[in-house]
Amino acid sequence: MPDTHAVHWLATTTGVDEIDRELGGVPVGAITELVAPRFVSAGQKSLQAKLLARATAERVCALVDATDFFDQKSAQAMGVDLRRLFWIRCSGREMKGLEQAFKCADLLLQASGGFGVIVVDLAGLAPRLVRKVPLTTWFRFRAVIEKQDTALIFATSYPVTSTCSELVLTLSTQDVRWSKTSDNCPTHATVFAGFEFQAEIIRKRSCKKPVQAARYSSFTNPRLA
Amino acid sequence: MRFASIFVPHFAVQAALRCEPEGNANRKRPMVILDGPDSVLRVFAFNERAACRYIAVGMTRIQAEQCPGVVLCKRLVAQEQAAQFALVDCALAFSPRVESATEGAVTCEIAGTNRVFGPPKTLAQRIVQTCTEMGFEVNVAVATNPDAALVGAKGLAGITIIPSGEEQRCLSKLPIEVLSPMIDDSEILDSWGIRTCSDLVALPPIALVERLGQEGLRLHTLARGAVQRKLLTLDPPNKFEEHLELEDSVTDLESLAFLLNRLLHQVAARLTARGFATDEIRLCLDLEEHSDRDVRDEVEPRRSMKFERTLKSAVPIDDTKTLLKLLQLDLAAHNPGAPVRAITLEAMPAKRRSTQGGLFTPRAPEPASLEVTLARIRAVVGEMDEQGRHRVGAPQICDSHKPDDFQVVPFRADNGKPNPSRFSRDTGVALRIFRPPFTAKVRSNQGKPAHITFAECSAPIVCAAGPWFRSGLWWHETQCWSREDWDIAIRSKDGVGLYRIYHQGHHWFVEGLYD
Repeated sequence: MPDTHAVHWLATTTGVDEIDRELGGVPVGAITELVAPRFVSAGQKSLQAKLLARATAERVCALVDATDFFDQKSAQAMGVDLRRLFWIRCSGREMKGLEQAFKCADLLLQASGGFGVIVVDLAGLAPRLVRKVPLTTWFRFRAVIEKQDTALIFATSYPVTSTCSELVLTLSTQDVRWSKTSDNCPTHATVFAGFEFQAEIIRKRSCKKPVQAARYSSFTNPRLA
Repeated sequence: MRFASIFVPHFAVQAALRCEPEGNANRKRPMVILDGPDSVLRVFAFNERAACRYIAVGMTRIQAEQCPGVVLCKRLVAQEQAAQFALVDCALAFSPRVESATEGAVTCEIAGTNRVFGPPKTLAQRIVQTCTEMGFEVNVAVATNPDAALVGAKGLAGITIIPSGEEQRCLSKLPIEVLSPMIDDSEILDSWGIRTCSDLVALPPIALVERLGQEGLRLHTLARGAVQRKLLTLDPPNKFEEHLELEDSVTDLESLAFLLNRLLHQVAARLTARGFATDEIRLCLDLEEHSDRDVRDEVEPRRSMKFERTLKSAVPIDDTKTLLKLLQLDLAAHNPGAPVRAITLEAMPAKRRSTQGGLFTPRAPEPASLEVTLARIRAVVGEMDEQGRHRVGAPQICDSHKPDDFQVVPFRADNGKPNPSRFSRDTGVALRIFRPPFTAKVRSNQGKPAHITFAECSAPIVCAAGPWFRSGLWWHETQCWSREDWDIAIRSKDGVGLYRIYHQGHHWFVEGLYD
């Protein structure tokens, strides 16, 4: 019997051991969707940063930032080679930002190619906006990316790519760690130490039946590392 | 020692034609170049087809217009200078020792080029081919001394190889005009019935000197092809500029692109001949400015204004299609806003990229097409943000303690080398930073934040850590900053939100979300 969990697709590793062990990474030549609720610390940005850190070590990558929320300092601290990251800062938190992000992603896919990973970060946009993206757009992206050796990742606050994505991961917070000596510890002696998140596989096309796997991973505040 | 001379017949005509979009079509038509003030334009130069229509130097514009089918064109010194530079570039493609002899003629030393370009005839054919690519129809002559080569190129059409010792025989049938005698001497020789070089060589040199002075001896030696001298080599000019003036102003970008394409081809051909590419294009457009006025008023003189754009690319490019696309995208984003009367295009030379592709090297975006994509993306998202930082490029952290102090530098596909060992398994937390930060209302309890309201969130703070005080540029009157940082956690129906907030002045801001 073939092992459905075995890695049999071309993938880019994420740098998060638990996810890489389960999935082998994110698929190349396909769409991956990372879903996390808006304004919640679910590890979505950290997972992106780990993935970009891994990918920029080998190839050049692109980040289409719909809301201009990318923090270079924390990304660099997580190992992202900023020189090899092509950053597009869209201007607007509303529909304008969404439109710009899609146009830019389209241009990157159509014209250049050669990027290891393209991350389109729509997570800062309200779900009502992202839901407006027609299904044909996702199908078009899927058709284009299939011919390229690039992993296309959409970070959203609501699952929108439907059947066009190869992999959909839903992220959620599991635990937040604070470094404090006692319950009565003063606030200035308390430090946010990190959090654990859960990645749930909502969709994985290479498996015949839907996989409902849950794995935990943790991120630590670099101040304490 | 061998020398090759390149001569452009009807140089003024060819200089005007090479930048014309319809240059190749006009080449087959009678073409006349006019010079002088606008009120008294006179014929300055013309091609062979115009000579067949009885055009002569000095004719007025009205007289020239009487000849049917003649194309009249005003002389532009800038165009002729650019053409001369282009000719020098042609010669520099084959030899580093080049003399710019006269207008429309260059001579280069080709000793020792046999192994690179083959025998002199093959070399001459390659010179003709290069000149044709640059829009010139040329004569090329190869001889053992520079003057014999030049005289041969002036008088003999096509390619001429003058063997050593046979200069006098080869030049014998050429008219005396190819020696460029002074007008007085030319008239004297004409009155003596001296028409060709062989006639001049037949005269005794001492008697000639007695009558014409040293100039007579010079002409005699030239006619024999016996002048021995060294080349007056020039420093290769690194100016790649083309200029085009239009009779009728261009009002739309499509037509302008058509003209730019022609100029780019000329510039690119020159760069290629010298082994260069370009990483900076400077475009200067002379615009026609019109103002609203009553048509019954006197005719207002046309005022002109300049429109300048500088286009820089991260990598040197020599592909004209890419350069044209970049220019088109730039002009679409920055419209000149007025009809264009003249175009000047200058390319800054840059060393060509030399990259060695590896079998196991990961594929990267093709730099030239990436430049076009960059320009297209810039057209979508804009060039700069409110702080004057680029919207497209590679992020670079500034050497400062100020929060979110960064700049965006041009992105290059070959930035840094792949370094898989750089990746470490250390985990950290990424911050989703809000630009600009959200303004928040924070209620404090016993000196620590207890409730926060911002954007779409309003929730009690379940845990807070801080404050941590930060400040910088305290010596600067306007840029000094100081703030009080807090890490807070709030709980919502979707999960926990961990925020970095800060207190500055009398206001609270939400800087970002740990995500």
